[in-house]
Amino acid sequence: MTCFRSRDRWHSYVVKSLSRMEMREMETHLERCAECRARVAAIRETSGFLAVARVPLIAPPMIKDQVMAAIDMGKYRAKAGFPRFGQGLQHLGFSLLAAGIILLMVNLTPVGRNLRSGEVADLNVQFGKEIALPFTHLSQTLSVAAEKFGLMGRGQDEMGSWVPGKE
Amino acid sequence: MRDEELIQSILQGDGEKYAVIVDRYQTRLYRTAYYYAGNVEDARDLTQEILIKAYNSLAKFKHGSAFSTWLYRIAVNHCIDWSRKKRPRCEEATCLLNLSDGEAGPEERFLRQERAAEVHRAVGCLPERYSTVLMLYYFEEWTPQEIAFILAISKRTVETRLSRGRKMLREKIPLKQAGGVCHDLFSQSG
Ligand SMILES: [Zn+2]
Repeated sequence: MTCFRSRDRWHSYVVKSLSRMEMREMETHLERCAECRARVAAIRETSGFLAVARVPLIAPPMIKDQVMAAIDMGKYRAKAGFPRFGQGLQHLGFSLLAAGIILLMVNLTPVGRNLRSGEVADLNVQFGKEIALPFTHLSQTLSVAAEKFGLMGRGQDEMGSWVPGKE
Repeated sequence: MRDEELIQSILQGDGEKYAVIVDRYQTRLYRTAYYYAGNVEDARDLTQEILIKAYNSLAKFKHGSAFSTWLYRIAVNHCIDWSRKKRPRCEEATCLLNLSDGEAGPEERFLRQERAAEVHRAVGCLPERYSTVLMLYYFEEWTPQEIAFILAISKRTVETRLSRGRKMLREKIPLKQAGGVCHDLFSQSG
């Protein structure tokens, strides 16, 4: 084997799956290279010989029946026609958090009822500190929840670089 | 209706359109499954599994690529996984069904069937990486470019495997009987 093109795209050439320019270029090469001509002839001969081993089978009708019975026809209908589960949860999550905040405010109001006006300012500072913590937590929870639900929503659309059959 | 349009409809909720996809591909998939399984029962089960798996993965199909090669990627991976688990390596004579054509006499038919079984066995007994590309190229008529997509390898690797696979086949079946004259089947450059 001496020709540098002997390992080239000859299988593609035989089935004409190259660009017109590539085909022309390889044809020109073939005209003056006996080695590559022999290679192309061998591929064609193999093709003819292996044709005898092609299996002339026709799929039995039960395949279609069973596949259609096994698949969930509504699988994509639900996703296309109704709000997605993640989105619903997202709204529910925000509503619950808002309700929580309102309840917290309501619970805090009776604390200052029996205090004299001078003590209120001090307590406000104290409560300000105490309240600051839960609110920090709340805002964290809020952002975590939003992120989580947000991601759930995106994940359904994402196709990524998935390789079929290799899950 | 083109494959991609059908997929679009299915993803928009028209699941019944999948029947058209099944009609379009089941025979081809069944044949491929048969090359791996070597019997019609397993080939039928494999084909069903492939089609169900593909339906459940439709949302992951990337528009812009060909559905046929995407489906075949699922099919080949599924068959390879299956044969690694189930099928004893390099089985004895696979029984080829109904290779007859109306005009051939019983003797000729028998010889043809024998030869087909021999070739089939020889291809099936090659290391999987070679038998798969040979099967896809010579039996199922995919182009090297399509095979590259199906197997997620480069086009150059496909060409190399096809050449090496053919060389290995030449060692297994050196001669063929043609019109009473024996000559080297894979003659010249390997
Ligand atoms: Zn050359």
